[in-house]
Amino acid sequence: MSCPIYDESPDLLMDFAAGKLDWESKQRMDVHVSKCAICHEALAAQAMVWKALDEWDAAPVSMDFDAKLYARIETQHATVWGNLKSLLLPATTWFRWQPAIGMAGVGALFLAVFLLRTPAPAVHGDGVRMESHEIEQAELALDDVEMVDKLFAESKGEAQSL
Amino acid sequence: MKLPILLIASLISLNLMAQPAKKAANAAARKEAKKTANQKVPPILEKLRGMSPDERQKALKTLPPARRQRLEARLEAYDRMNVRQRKNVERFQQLPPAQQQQVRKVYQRFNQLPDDRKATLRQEVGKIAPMGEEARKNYFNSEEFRGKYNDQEQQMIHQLADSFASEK
Repeated sequence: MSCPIYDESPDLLMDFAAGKLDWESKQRMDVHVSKCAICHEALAAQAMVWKALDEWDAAPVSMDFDAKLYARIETQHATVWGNLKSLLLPATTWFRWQPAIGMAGVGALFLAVFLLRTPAPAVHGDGVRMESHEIEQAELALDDVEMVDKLFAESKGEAQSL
Repeated sequence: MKLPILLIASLISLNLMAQPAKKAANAAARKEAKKTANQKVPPILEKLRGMSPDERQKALKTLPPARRQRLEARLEAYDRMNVRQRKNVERFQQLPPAQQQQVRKVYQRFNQLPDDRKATLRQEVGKIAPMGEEARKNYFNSEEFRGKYNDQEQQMIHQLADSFASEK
């Protein structure tokens, strides 16, 4: 089968990781993943993410969470001035921006992981483009070509036609 | 408390924004997969074969010299293959992945045989593969076949002849 990453169909890989594929597709993916270092690595990374999510314990939500939340919203929207003031005061601003800082951190982490895990394509001046996984695929394809040729070609110095 | 809520909300909205692009990408991937399925030779080799020598050299210039030279030599050998050799490769290429994997396993065992047995087995597979399914089955059950080969050889011939059979 062709490589799901190369074919830009990572959904197939994700479904495989989640055990959602039917038996036949799963067999095909098993064979492919055993040969393809890139898919193997992507599956390992996915397993790491799921493990991290499994281990993450969300803080329990108190019974009066909704009531407290609405009360706070009510208070904060009571006056425009109150909002402006809270944005202008440095200490309050810090609390306001805390989620954004957290989000920016998470975003930076995602970006870093994405940049580190995506192999840089080899782009040349005249537009010829070969990525490292394509070269690996070409070598694997040539392994198969040579195997078939050796299976049928050596007896008389040329290929036997089947 | 706010941070997880905001995180989840932003992930959901990002996902929603990505939906149309994802659909388009999936459609393109399906189209490409369909195209690839109909191809008889590995598409990546076709891509390399479609390049001029100069383009090929540039495309592979990031590789270490020894690996690049070996790959270029292998591609040249592939280019030089005759029609019959290519036909065998095409047959293999059209097999389902599980069967391709089975052929690879048989090849590993085949490689461990002495040269004279390899030659005999090649000839035998070449003789059996063009047979019709019924004739092939009868031959595998014949005394002639069973008397000539040990169990391991019989199994290899069986698997190879079935994989590369003209009629399935």
